[in-house]
Amino acid sequence: MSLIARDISKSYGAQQVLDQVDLSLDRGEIVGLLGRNGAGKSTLLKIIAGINRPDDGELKVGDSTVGYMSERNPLYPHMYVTEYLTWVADMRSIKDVKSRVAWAVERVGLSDVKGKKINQLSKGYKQRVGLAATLLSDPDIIILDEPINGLDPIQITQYRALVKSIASDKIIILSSHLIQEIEALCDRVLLLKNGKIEEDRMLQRSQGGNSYTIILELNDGLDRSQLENLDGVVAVSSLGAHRYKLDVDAAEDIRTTIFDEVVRQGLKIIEMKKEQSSLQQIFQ
Amino acid sequence: MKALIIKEFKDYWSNSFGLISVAVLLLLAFLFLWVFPDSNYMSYGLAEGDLYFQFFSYLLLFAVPAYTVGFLANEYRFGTEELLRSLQIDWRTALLAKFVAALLVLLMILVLSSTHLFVVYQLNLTSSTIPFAQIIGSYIGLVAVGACYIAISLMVTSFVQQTTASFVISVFVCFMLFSGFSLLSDLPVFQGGLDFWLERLSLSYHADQIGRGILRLSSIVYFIALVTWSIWLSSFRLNTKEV
Repeated sequence: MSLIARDISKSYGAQQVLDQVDLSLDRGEIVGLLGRNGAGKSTLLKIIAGINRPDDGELKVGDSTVGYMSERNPLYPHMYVTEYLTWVADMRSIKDVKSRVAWAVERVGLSDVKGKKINQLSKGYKQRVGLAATLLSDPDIIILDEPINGLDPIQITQYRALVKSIASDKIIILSSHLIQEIEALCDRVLLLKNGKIEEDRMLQRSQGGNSYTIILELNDGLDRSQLENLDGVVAVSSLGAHRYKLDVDAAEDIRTTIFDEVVRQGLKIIEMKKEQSSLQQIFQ
Repeated sequence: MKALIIKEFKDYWSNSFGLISVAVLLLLAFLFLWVFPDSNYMSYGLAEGDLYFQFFSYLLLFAVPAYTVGFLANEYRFGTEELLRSLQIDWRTALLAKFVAALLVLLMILVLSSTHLFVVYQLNLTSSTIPFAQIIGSYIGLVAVGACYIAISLMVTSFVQQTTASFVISVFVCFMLFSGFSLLSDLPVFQGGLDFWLERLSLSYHADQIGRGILRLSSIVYFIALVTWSIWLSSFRLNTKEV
């Protein structure tokens, strides 16, 4: 199972939104699509989902099925949650609709509200209904456009766990404005800028949800293994002339801990500065 | 398709608009046919179905666009066009489902309003037999006219997203088709030339023919072509539209 796009271009009037976009994704990948507003993220996702057609280029998904949850998450507000999911299942010609709907309701945590009308639900629950509808047919490729909009921190954590749990045999593409979200979930990030993929890089998945870099300049050489053992330090690399780069993944600022360790090694700090993660630097 | 039709039909009744609009429609029919002077059966003087069918031809001219534009306008309002596309439902199927659901609403209105006819024929002192053939013919004509109104309203709404504007334009187009062409054919400039064709372009001409028990192939082709063309044009428009 793979997804291959070649030279995808799309314009709206005189505005070129996508300009010869190439990408190739494989099973098991969680891919983050990052870009500013108007970069063409939603347009690219809609083309992959088969909602809109490209002006040029080709898209190959083989026999793979595609599930798409739009940024707007359109739902029929007057329908009941179970009624809506049953209707979506009927439309997708899913066999054994009842048990599949029950599975989706359970999977995304809608059991408490399954008997309610959609217009009575909070934004977070509506997002879950959209996600449940996307998962109903067990698609091979799942596209989530800004999926955490409106979710509270607990719901975001639950949603991340859910996405990770279903990712092993699927291709998941998600777009977000939040770099932390991409860092926390994705194996790979695509940066879309002016309709082109500006960056395509693999990511080390964040554990704490807050990645940053510390640049350290000392008066002498450092025992790097001691620093690498500190909580939150992912990697230490030398920049030459007693300068080091520390990749950190920690919820809090660990510069005081680093300071203590450097002092313990009998060294003096000439400079210590915290920088945004490399992804943030790319994004800016 | 069946699931779509059921959803559309249930959607109509799921909010107060559906029930209230049908109730208002039936109340209006009662007032015009039995209460308001000049338009009621007592002034008409004949206990026959003609007044009922004439009145409903014009009432549906407003009522059908009023409720039909909502079938498509709600998709724009809720942004669910995107949902339909993501479910790989093509617009032709979606429009046919909406057409059938709107037609079922029309049939319900006509069934509920048929009590007027029943009462009228109970008041008929000159004849004890009810002219079923004539009534059925008139009902077929009315349903055919209503079906055209539905298809035209869907077509207009596919081009004009603003609900009020699409309602006004739908009423105008329906009126032109129902009796506009017929009225134009009376203009001296068309006499002895285009008047024949203009007359035959009007819905009222074909509905009258069916009501009188004259079922011509041209009338059947006219109604089917009008509905099919309107649905096709709507589907073409919506399929080429970006969401």
